[in-house]
Amino acid sequence: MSQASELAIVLLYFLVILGIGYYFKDHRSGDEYWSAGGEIGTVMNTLAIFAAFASGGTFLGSIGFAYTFGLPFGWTAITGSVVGFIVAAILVAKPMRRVDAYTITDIFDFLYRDRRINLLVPIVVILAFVLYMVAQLKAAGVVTEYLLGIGYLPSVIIIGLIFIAYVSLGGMWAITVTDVLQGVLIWGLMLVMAAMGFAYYGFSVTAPGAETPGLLEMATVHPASYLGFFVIWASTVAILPHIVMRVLSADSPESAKIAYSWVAILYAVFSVIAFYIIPSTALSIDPGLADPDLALVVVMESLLPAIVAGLVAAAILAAVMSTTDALLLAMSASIANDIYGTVLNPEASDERVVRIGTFATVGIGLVSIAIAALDPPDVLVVLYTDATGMMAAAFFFPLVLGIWWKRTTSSGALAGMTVGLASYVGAWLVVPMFAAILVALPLSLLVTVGVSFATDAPSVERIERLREKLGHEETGW
Amino acid sequence: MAKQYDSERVDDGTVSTSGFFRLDRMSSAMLVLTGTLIAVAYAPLLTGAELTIAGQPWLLLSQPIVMIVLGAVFVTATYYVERADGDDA
Repeated sequence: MSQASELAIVLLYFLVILGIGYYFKDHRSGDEYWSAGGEIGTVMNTLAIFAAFASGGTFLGSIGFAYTFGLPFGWTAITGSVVGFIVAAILVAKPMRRVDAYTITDIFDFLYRDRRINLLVPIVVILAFVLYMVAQLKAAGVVTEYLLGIGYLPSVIIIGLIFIAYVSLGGMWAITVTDVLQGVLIWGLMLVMAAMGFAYYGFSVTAPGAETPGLLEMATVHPASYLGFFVIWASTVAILPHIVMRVLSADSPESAKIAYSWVAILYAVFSVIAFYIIPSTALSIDPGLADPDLALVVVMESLLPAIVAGLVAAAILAAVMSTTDALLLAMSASIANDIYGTVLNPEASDERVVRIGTFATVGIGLVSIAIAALDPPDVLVVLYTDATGMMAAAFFFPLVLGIWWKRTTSSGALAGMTVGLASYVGAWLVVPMFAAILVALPLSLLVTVGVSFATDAPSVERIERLREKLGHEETGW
Repeated sequence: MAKQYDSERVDDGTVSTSGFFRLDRMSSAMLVLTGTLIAVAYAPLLTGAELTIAGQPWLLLSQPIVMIVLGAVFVTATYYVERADGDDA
């Protein structure tokens, strides 16, 4: 295999996405920088949401996860994600899009008008997403080092600097257009890999399972881990800040909901096929991989010619970068729009907030590169699933109840967030893998409801504002 | 189906500060279907016994079906309503 041809294709890919960032460099109003002016159509948003969600963790991590633990456990997260998109589409997508907002903190600000919540939410988002982004960067570094032979440290630095450049230049427009390109690359990768995998097994649907029976068996983990893994992803989609920002960039509430529905079915089909055939092929080729996250790469290198492998390498990097760019924009929005623009200096001009957001993009990006460059241990990397679970435990019920239950109060929401966070961290120390959500989410619900009942009911004006602005007057699908 | 305006709401100037905002029937039905299929897929886990069908774990068989069925029903329902809205317009 020629590393030169792979390198050339990857460099070309980098130039294209940098060019896209440069093209959108003049779209600098707050509305355009954070939400692309609310002009993203359904097809574009579907691909962008899919790409932002189907991260490097999904590609490398989930295939490696199925390789190690088998399909029944691996598919649990995917089933949770599909259910999560349906729940989010029905309960939050359209109401959120009707609000004049850029971030999930803006949504909470609209619902509760509470300074404490406005400060807590972005801090939690930043803490959780730094872990998430470091995990993605590390995955990118490992794969790039393996594929291109340029070393882990240069890989992390180059990839990090490239997405910092196009996010800081073009904001939401740049990451949406690059994510569309990346979504197409990811789907292309899946189709090519699945076709090659089936060809490897003589186009038999049953042969992969027959040859690698371990893939079809239940993992020897506690049943609560299965349920927890499902619940984490079923509840996370509705509150993931970088996915919420996609909803807020849709050109209409209906478009946001339709995009979610398409992502649900695309993700289901994608995962059922890819997570069956690719781990099976990897197990057949090399059943003793020291790093299961390289299962996809092993299949690629074994079955594909160099020129196609170069495209696949670009697609893997696309999967990583399509998530990291969205995470980076969400974090810079948390600092500039939420903490600075909403809490510290509500009178700040739009231009100033965007300028601070650009600096925040560069700053957070560099910090994440620095942490990833230290090659943190895997235990830190796997924490990002729990970091997203922690956000779900804190935000899911305060968001859903705030939109649908009239009696929810700001004190109830704040208490529910705080207890969700604290109980997730506490339970995480003592319960089986992924099961902390099974403790924290119900506790958050109980506390949100209990404290709401114990505090003064929201005013009539607030109920009217929610009913009119969230679209409860028009209760259609 | 189309747009399901809240026909039961009486605009008498009073605003209730308790209860839930109304969810349309199709959304409610979709949530019920989702909950039912999730229960079918995961309830055997709660019994502690490993359920198998034709020698294969229940979760291996049920999860892809649940994913595909829910995704397909949801997309179909979304476009059915969009089309109905178009016909009404």
